[in-house]
Amino acid sequence: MNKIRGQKRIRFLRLLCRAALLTSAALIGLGCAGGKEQVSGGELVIYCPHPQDFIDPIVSEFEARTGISVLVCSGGTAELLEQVAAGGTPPCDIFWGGSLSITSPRKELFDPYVSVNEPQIREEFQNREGNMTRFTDVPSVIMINTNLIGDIPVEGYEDLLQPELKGQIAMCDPAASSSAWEHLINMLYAMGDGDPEQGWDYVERFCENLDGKLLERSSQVYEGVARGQYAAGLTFEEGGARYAASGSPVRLIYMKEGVLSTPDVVCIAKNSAHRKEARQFVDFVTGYDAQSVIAGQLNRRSVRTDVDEPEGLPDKSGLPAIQDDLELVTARREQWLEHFSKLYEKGLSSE
Amino acid sequence: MKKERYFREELQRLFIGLAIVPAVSITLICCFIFMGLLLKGRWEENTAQGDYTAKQLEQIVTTCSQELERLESLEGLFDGEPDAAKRARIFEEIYRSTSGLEYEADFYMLDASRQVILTDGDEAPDFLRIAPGISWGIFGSMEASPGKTVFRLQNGYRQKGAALALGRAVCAGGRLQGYLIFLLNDSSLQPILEHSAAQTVVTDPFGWAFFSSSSAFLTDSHQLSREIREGDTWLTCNRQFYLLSVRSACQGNLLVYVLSDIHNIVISLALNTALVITALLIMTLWVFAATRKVTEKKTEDFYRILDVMDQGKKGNLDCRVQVESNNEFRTIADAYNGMIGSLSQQMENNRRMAELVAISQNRQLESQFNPHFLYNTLETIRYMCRIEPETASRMIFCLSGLLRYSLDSSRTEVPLKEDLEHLNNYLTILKYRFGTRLCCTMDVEERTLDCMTPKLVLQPMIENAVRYGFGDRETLSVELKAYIHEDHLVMICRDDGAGMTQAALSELSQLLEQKENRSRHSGLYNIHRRIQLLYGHPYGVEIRSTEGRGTTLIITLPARREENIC
Repeated sequence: MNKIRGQKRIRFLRLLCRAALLTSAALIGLGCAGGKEQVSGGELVIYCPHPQDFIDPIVSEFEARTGISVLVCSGGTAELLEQVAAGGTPPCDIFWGGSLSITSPRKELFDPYVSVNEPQIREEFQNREGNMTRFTDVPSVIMINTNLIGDIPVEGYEDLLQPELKGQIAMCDPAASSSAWEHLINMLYAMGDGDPEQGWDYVERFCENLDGKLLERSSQVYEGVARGQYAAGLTFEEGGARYAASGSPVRLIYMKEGVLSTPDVVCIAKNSAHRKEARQFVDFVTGYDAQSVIAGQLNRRSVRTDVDEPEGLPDKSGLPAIQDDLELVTARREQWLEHFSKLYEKGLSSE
Repeated sequence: MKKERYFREELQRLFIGLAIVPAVSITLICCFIFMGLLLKGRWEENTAQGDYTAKQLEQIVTTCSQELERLESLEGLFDGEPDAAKRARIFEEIYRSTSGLEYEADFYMLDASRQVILTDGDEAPDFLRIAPGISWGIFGSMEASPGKTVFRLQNGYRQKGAALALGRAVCAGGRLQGYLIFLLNDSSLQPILEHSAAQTVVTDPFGWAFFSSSSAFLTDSHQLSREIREGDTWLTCNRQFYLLSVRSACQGNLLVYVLSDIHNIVISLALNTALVITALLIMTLWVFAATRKVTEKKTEDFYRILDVMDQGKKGNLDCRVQVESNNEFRTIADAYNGMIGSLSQQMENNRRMAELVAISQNRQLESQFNPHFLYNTLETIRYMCRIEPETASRMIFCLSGLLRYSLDSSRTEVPLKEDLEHLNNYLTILKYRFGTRLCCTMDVEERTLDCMTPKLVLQPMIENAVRYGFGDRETLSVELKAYIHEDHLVMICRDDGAGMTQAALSELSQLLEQKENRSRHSGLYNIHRRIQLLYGHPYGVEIRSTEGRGTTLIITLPARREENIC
């Protein structure tokens, strides 16, 4: 109400202001030849759940290199996907980010495009669907604040059940964030010893230890741990690695029970008004230069064969990697999310 | 009432038109001129800052590129690890270059594998630590156009540490030898911002900020907010008003946004305007109230006069204007009162005069007795004196009664029965004259006998019937009727005599409507005239006649009884 009134007032004042300008211009003959040409409408609109610090260097380099102006809309993966489906404003041209397991069920939203870099993409990250170009490889990790964790040993999921960590764990709602969804899959597979349905016991106990704290956005997880709001957080590798690289008191734990690594994607939205620019963007972010910088400076694992593993991150071959069944995960998403939500509610009510 | 309002409104309008409107318009115009001058001042300051910033940037970039070109031309710059003497020589050149700059710039010399060989600044920033072979940032630009100075905003997305990198890839014989780079840090350009009170933001063409007076205009990504980038000269940002001017510098590679805070000016303008409008409202209300009172008081006498005049127009001349004040209205009122007084005096006189005239005319009319009748009667009496002296004596008695009655001027109206009695005298005389030739019957309603009629109203009717009825006939019967119909006393005299021709009838009818009688039908005319004088228009004599079938005379009078008169 107040805001509306404020806007009205502003409009009124603006009107007065214009009236004043007109009068003064007429009286004094002030030639206000200000203004500038409008640069809107021609922008490439990118829907992106990546952290801002990750987006900005890549987007600014893309702009400088191609002269194409970019507008980034940030948000949670699920929320942004809904907006793409609903035709949000401004209309999405590029959907950049979000793990494959969460984006592939909505692959009908995207236009087929195979980037010029596809021959250099690793075998396991090939664009098999035709419209889902892999962007980076994103393992799930546990991020701990070394100042808060003390002598509590954290080596994997099992350790998160320790009563000392109750209420100290940052986890995002898997329905909203793709990194949290990846962790839920990871938990189910890792704790179920390959059979996801066996993992629910662990999830139930884990939910109890969350102590009713479930976050809305994945950024709250790594920021929360880095700032010391939580002792441990379930996030994706790059989210925590940035803080580790910049010297923050955080450490990444690769779960000894198994680490699931799912690529995220960069896709062109159906009916994009800037298809040519969108393709340029996909080629750019999967190109050697961008992938090298991403691996060299932005702490992500490249999908290209010709780019090395990032410095400061363990070799992927050394990780206790596990595999999931993408089809199964995709098919059970709704069911699992519901189950998780139930367990979480139960954890709430048991207090 | 409408007139009244009109006059008062006119007065009020006069007040408003001559007092409020000019006052308010002058205040508003002054207000706008004042604000316009303030805004103009701000605008000039704004554009001056824009020009200054653009000029400074151009100058730095030009100087740096010249220095880069000069440094490139130094011999053996990239020939292996420089020894002390060579370093000294190069540094000498660098210091000479950078000291020519008004703003502090860091110099970096990198070899082909992008390792820093020489620098006068700190450790190389992250954007200079790009591995060889990766075309990114300033390296991408330099390699794209070797042998040319390129520049690029680096780390524009960082809250701190944005830098303008001017670089040159040095090639010899088609082979890359190394890079020469000047870095202008955002902090070193702060003096530009302090040059003016206006807020300055310098960005690259995509809005990434190089340096800025205030972070309020920037997004979390250190990008100039969209509303400013897309804004026009008048801008609202963070609920503040700004004047915005935009300039491009360095061939459009940098954009200089200058924002002048005009919030206070706009607010005071709005307040002033609101004040003036409030004052206008209050003054208008006050003037309405005040002028109503004043005009009511001042025009009170005026409307009193008007009211009396209206009364006069309606015929009421008894009203007089009462004016208390002692001004022009008093004079008008007195003059009007005098005029109305003498006018009503005059009208009273006229009325009396008309009355007198009517009375005297009536008298004159009723005293007229047909001389033919007298002559005929006297002639009959003369014969009778010889034949029947008895009858003659009775006739003389009747005639004298008739004459006395007609000469009695004390009354103009008599009850019908009295007039009937005297009519009998007349009929008796006629009986003696005509004998059996004339038959006269009467049919008079009892209740008509008390009704008042003009004196001698019946006699001329019979006289007229006898005079024109016989024609060539031997006998004539006359029938007299009197009755009351709808409050009218109707008296009818019908004969079966010769009647009148159509022409004679219309002539007679016309005659009755004349004011003066010049014909021989004096009897009927006189009755008609008298009735009209006494009772007014709808009453009088009506004649109906058909040739050869007789004539009917109808007299209509108001049915008034004796007691009603007094």
